[in-house]
Amino acid sequence: MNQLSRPPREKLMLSTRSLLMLASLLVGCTAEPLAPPPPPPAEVARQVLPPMPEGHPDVAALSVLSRGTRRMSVEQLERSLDSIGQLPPGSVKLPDSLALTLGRPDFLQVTEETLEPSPLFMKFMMDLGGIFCSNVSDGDPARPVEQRVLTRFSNRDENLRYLVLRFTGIEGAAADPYVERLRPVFEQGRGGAKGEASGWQAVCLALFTSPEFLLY
Amino acid sequence: MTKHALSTFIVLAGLSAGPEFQAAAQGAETCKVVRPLDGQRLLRRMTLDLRGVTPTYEEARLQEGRADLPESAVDAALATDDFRGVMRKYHQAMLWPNVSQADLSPDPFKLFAYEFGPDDFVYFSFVRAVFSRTISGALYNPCKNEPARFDADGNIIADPYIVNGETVAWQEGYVMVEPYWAPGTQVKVCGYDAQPALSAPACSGAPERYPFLAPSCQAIGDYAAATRTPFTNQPLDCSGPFAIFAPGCGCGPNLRFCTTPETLATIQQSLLDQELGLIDGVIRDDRPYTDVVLSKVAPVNGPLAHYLRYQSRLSTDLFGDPDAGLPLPPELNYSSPPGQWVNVTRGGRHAGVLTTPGYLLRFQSNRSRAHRFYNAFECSSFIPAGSLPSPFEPCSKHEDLTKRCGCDACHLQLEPMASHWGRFSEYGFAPIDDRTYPQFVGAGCTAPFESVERLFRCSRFYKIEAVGEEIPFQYNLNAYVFRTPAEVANIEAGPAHLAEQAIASGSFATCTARKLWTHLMRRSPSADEEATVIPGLAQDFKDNGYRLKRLVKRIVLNPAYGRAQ
Repeated sequence: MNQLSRPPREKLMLSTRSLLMLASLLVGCTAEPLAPPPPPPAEVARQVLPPMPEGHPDVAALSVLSRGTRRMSVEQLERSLDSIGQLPPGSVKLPDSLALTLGRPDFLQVTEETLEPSPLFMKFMMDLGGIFCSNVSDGDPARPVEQRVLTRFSNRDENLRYLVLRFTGIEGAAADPYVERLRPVFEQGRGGAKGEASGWQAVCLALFTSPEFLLY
Repeated sequence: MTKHALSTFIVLAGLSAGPEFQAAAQGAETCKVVRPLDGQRLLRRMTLDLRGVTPTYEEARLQEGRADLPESAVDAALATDDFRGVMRKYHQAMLWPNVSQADLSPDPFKLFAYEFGPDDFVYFSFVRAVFSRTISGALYNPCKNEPARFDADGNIIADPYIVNGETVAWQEGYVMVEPYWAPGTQVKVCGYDAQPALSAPACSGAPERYPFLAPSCQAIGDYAAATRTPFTNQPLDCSGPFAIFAPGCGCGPNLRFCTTPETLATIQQSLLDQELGLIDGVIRDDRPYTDVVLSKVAPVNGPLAHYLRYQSRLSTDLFGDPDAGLPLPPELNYSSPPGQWVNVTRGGRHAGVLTTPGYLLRFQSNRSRAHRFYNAFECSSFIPAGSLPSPFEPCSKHEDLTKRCGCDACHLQLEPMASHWGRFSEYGFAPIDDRTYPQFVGAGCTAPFESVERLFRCSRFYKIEAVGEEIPFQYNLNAYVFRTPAEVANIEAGPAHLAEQAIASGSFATCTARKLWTHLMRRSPSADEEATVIPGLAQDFKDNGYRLKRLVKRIVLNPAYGRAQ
């Protein structure tokens, strides 16, 4: 189509507008009943907030900033497990390929360490925890008492407190709820193939995979 | 951290009793309540941050019942070697050390062990095999597993390897060599690879004997003839970039020019360790942090000294000529004890990590070197203001990026910064020596050339065939093309000048404070902190001799660090 045969744009717009106006007039003249009025707006559900609990900090204090939370890096994890397990430095060493998967950068393709506690990370922690706790549990009886990790004390709760402190840095009254929760873990675990050792293994695994250990 | 991720922990562990973890696990909408962290947890946080490990039982016992973090515990952590290690990691995240992409050892000089049987192997180079043995058919023919024979002149005797009546390769035997990486031992090395010559004639064999070398010899020979440059049958340096064209060149005495996968990995690691070791020294000795970008002192170890003495000139791409400003301690050789590092004082335009081979090889263009500095030490980036204009716009046709529209926004600032590295080779690490390579070369880069290496360097380093806007810069060293007088002064001054500017402006101190704050707090400073806390930290850092340990201590003892959310 050449330029001359094309209708001017303004003319097209005008004709479209005219058609619309005509259509609206026709609708206005129809004998059909008008559409029913729209329903009233639904009531907005109101949630009544409970009063501030006792001891809640002053609202003004909420703007006070803290340090952020992060998970341990692969290296921190390896070194901390050496320390907790009272193992020679370098005993816990993840394969390089796995360390890359868990966020260690190679500074070529990946330049920032990933420290998100992803489900994939937790899956590997479950696996690593299983291996670590099993090995520590197997080796514990052969160690002098003061070097034991899971059975350092003859008293169950003392052991639990020791382990909570070593894994999470939680002590005293703050550790009470943890000890409370770990007792049934131990009791259920001791029903396993290795008896008491299985119980301590279960406690170790529970602590290993807890956020209080992996996050700081 | 996302609530989802946190919940993942709780579901799996089923243990957590802490209010912050429990609330998130239940998906409750909680406000961000901030409260002081328990003393024991605070010790754990600080120890993980400064030493990279949880506290020992003894350290935890000492902290029992304490609500605060004693200053002495922080001092003790800062004094450990662990802290140096943690700071090394911190700087790795800033400098991205990795030289695996750099061609440190060209393929003809890479030796591999060819196994003839259990515990019976011979070292040989796959690529040298093609150029020295192969006639047709299979490319990578090793030598024979029998002692090499020599004629009366000491030349290697090779026997034809015949398949279906046709000679497909020439094979020599092996010789026993004491390798530089294991003095006192002997290894089998294929005769051609083991040749100890320091120089040998170029393209000296008959073309039918070296069918894979002959085409390249012909091409270079023709070009050399056209530029009246001596080449065929002229002696070539066996440790130089054209050594592969001399059939009489091999790995040199004690195989010094060649690498194995193990020695190459050691050299790569040494390059990175040198860069980070320079920082280690600053941290360990609590020297001014400005030394990281200014110090002339750098550590050198045996493998690095060996590489710089014998192997760095072999590549045609990577420029690694001897650095007159870097004295190599004569007592260092490849087999020096692994942990033996000797501090050397560098001359020339060297400046802290910014001119270490590790840094220069990781960031191979001067622009990327400047950009990394800008990002790591000034906390700034070059981000384009918008999309590029049409390439058909006249202003898009400028060769000079400081004038090309769309590019100019960044390059007006980037080019002056990048010019500070103008006297260091791009894709290489060696300084471009002022006397050998003056700013303007003129007749120094016109035929006849003294050697093919000179011809090659001229075309690499100089703007020989200038076009368009480049014409005023013909025969200038590439780094000087389009540079203003001020930028030429930057080239002459070197990277230390850029670092000194950042230090003088305060951006170095502010950036260091902000980066460390972000690293230790695991979050960026808030707007308020940016306005109030960071300037105070930066000023104190500056006023107290840029001591990094002091800055770390101030951040760790800041009340915000001791709070939990």
